[in-house]
Amino acid sequence: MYPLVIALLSLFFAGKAFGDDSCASIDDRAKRLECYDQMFPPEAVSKSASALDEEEVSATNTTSTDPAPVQKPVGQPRSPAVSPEVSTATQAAKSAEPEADKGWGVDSFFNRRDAEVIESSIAALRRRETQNMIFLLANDQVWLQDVPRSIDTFHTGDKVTIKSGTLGGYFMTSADGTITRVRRIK
Amino acid sequence: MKTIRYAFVGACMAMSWPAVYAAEEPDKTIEEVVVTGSFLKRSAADSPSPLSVVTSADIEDLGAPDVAEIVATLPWQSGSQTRAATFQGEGADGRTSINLRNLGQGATLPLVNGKRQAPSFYGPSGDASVNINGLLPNIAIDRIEIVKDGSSALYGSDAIAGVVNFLTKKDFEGMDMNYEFTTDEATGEGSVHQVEAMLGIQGDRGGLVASASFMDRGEINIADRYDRFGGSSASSTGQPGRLVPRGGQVIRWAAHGLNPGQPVAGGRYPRNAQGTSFGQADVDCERASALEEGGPIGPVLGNNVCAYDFGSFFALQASEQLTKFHVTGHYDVTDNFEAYFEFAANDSEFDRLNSLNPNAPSLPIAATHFGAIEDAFRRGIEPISVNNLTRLLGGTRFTPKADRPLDTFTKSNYTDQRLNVGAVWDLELGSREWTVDMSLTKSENDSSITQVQDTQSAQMQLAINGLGGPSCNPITGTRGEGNLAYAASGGNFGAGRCYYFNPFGNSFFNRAGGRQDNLALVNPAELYQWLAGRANSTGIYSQTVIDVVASGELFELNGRTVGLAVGYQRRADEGALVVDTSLKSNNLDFAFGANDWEGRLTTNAIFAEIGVPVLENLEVNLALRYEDFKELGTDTIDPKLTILWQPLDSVSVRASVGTSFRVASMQQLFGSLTTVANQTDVLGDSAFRASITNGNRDLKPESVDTYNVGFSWAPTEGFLEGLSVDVDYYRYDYTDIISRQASAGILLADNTALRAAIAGGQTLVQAINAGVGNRRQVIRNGDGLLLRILPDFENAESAKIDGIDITTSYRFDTNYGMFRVGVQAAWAKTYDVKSGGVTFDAVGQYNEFAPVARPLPEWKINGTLSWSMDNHRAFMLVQYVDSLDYGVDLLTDPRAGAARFWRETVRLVHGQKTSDDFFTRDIKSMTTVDLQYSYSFGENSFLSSSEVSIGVKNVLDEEPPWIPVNTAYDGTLHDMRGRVWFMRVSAGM
Repeated sequence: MYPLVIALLSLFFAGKAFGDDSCASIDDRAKRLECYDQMFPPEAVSKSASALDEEEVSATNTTSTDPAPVQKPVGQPRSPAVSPEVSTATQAAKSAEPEADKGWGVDSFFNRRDAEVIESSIAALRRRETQNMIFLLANDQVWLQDVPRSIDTFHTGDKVTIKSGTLGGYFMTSADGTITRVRRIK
Repeated sequence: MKTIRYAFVGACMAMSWPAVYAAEEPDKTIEEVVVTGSFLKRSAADSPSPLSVVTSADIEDLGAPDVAEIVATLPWQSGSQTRAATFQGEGADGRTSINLRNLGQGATLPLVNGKRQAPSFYGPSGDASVNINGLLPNIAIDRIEIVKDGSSALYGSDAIAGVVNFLTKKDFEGMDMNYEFTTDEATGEGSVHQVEAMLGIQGDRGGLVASASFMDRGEINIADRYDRFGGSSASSTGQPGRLVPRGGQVIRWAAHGLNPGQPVAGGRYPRNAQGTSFGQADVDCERASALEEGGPIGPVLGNNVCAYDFGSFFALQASEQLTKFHVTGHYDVTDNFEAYFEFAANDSEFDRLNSLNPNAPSLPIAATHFGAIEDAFRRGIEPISVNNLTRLLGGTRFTPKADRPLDTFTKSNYTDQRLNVGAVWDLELGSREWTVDMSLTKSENDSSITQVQDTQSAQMQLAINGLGGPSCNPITGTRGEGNLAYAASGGNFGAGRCYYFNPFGNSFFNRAGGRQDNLALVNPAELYQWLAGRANSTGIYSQTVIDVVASGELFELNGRTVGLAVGYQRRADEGALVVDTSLKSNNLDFAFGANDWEGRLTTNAIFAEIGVPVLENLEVNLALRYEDFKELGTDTIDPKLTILWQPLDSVSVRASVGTSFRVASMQQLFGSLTTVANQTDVLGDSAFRASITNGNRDLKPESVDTYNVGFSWAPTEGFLEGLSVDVDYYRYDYTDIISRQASAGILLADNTALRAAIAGGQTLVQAINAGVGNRRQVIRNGDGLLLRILPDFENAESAKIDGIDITTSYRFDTNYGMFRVGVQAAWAKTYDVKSGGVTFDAVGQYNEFAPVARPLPEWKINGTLSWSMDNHRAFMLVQYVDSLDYGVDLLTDPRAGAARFWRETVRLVHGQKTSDDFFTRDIKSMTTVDLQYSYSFGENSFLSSSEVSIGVKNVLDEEPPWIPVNTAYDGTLHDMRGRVWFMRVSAGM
């Protein structure tokens, strides 16, 4: 069985070679995003869904540093590069956009942690039993708690910082030091 | 592809991936989708089946180094093998099963990401279960979804009590590492070190997550806690042991005895020449017991038994090294076609010591045996012939090698490999979205077991008659010539050829109580080596599964979608056991022997599930599954109907009714099972005899009718926001339960018939030759001596079970942090077992003698309190396990004979008061409190996050309740370790 597993691993690591991922080779960021937008047209996310309870959203206090209006986030669980919001969001959100080109990761493991910092506040959050928390930030991004804790003291209005991890992924830290691993879903 | 996949993925989740978030319509919230219990997309709140979820956060809070400890905290299970202990593991050797509702180890279906795993852990009744301890590194587990309801209509065989689905982290990116150290305060010997790491890479079109763990667990030996657990692992067959005068002899005092030349009054058996003590216990029993703690512990039962505590060779917690690896990946080949794979492997090295088993045949020893002559002298009688009720070796694990020249042990190596490859194809049929999930899963378990723990029967037969030894010709040799030559040469084994094995205490002690200096009576080390029985076996169990599931939308009804899933599954199970010639020759005194076997079972299944929203807030779900078992020529059809009514956003009411089944295990169908037990035969003699059961292809699948009614309440506003309440009533009508006939019952019926014939004037041999009694299943030799018993696997028992599960939690925020309190409670209301025309309630019973149920507390309750503020977190778990009744009168019931014997041995070791505590049918309840505190250091140098946790389990250091069984506690109910400290360091990058 082991040779088959090794072959499969090789296949997956070699995925970039046969995958349709030509955009990743474009060095210019804006052009690369444009390429992705063409590859994944907006209808891919046209079926919007609200991430949050209406009451929580209505109670949101957007901060002065994050004036972006609260939008209905989309359950777009993976690469933010495919999101149409990339081209319409505020400049702050744009600058905070996680790197789209992670390829198969090896070329982007290091030197990326401090390059991608998002500072925002929690506009609303969703917390359900036995489930990961979902955060709507004031910059209109929606992040999903990746590794849950039984209890975490994130609150609506908390200022949070999101930084990429040393070897990938993202960590959200609140002002009081609460930290959790997160994944962007919009 | 991505959007389409996420829109559809819930419908195929049971066959696909774990945590996914549905995004369909603007008025729907993002909701985590549960993947177990339905092939249609559902959130946890929408589950029509009772569902319990254990998240990775819960696992962290428990400080559980393995899945066994997670299972042990679930109130919904009882009787699961969660302790890697010799006597409490049913041969599990570190393997763990999960036993939901106490319906049996094989009656709960474990899955990994919705896929099956080959069962490889066979219990004493031939039931097979999956070793869930070896499935995955803990760090890879995202959550465990437990459907507490019969689910064969969806998943097929084994989902009788429910389904436990282990779901892995699929979208993880970065690296997490943990090191955890656990140690028990009482001994410090049972420390557990565990290191685990997980690395995830995610790209635009796919991802890969790999994880590995290594766990090293130390042994807590019975000798380490002899003050509490010693004394009850005792045998009536020791070394020195018990010598029973053979019938038809007159015991006369010798010239130096009390009354020279005269018969001993009453035919009694003196233990000294002065006639101050009588009994069958070896005359050196007291001397041996004074040598060291454990081992021989003195004469009991009126000096008739020289009790021997073999506990020092056995573990309360066994040593184990467990390595686990898991990798999963997925890749979008095109926008609507995703390929995925998963591979898992583990390697478990499980070693334990062993005492040497008793010499079960109770061979006669001639009056001319050197040891018998010396023994008779010490008793002050003329030499007589006796039956040998001893074992090859005694002592303890601490006995010097010179006195205990054999290393006796069991080494087990278990490995599992599991590979799953598949693809998800998203389709648009008209305006409807459909998904087809196709996969192939291959799993295999390989085991290799080496044992030195027995005596070779034929060799012992020769040696007890003075013709033992590798150089002895039993035809031409001279009895005992070797012993004399050995003595004359000063201990040269090669000087002689034919040796007596001397089972009497005089092989070790001389007449003055010192070390035996007459080498003609001493057993040479080389003779032990020649007599020792060594056995090896290897097993291979594999399963290949093809799954195809199509699921999607049919049409709109009442503003919602009618969903449909259809599927096909093909399973090919194969099992084979290969044993060495030592086992095949049936030449082992105690274990007797075993045979090779192999089997194959091919199963084809088709199934369908449809969910219909008959009203805006009422959904009816119907599932139907047909399974055909090719080699058995039989099939099953199982339906399941569920109703989910959501009158309010915060309230849902669910009900289900269906049937489930479990097909017999490979061993029960095609294999062979040998066990050994002490049997009392028709003339009152007792000895260890083998019971051998061969597979029965005519076994019907067990079947169960299941019912469940429950509700969930989760207020979304006001001061009750944060409250969650789940209550479920369940009922199982379980029939055709597969079990193994009790060999003692078969022998009892045979003895009753033979006694009646003897009372009618026949001799035993005449009655046997005339076919009286059970001549098919009770095998005797020409003299009528019992050789072995052949119990069958059969569909015999039935049971009616019902009870209530309650889960509540309340989360609230204060100026002093956020709190969450929770209660999980399982109430077993009824467990009526019908066996042999008799019905009894197993609830609140220890069920030592029940053919179906294991120890079943009426209540199991967990209380939890979580707190978090800034960088600080704390967790408390209070666990309550209800009291039990041992079930029979310990003073008078014949079934409690072993317990009465252990009462005596415990009295010898610990005194009368402890013995009185031990010897009670009332098994007390136990409440334990666990505490944990964690501090997050956040970002730290190259670490993106870091955290340290410290905790104490059983902070009040409660001892487990006394139970009148081996080791005086039960590992399926309680943790024997007392207070346990643990520390965990974790970091993320």
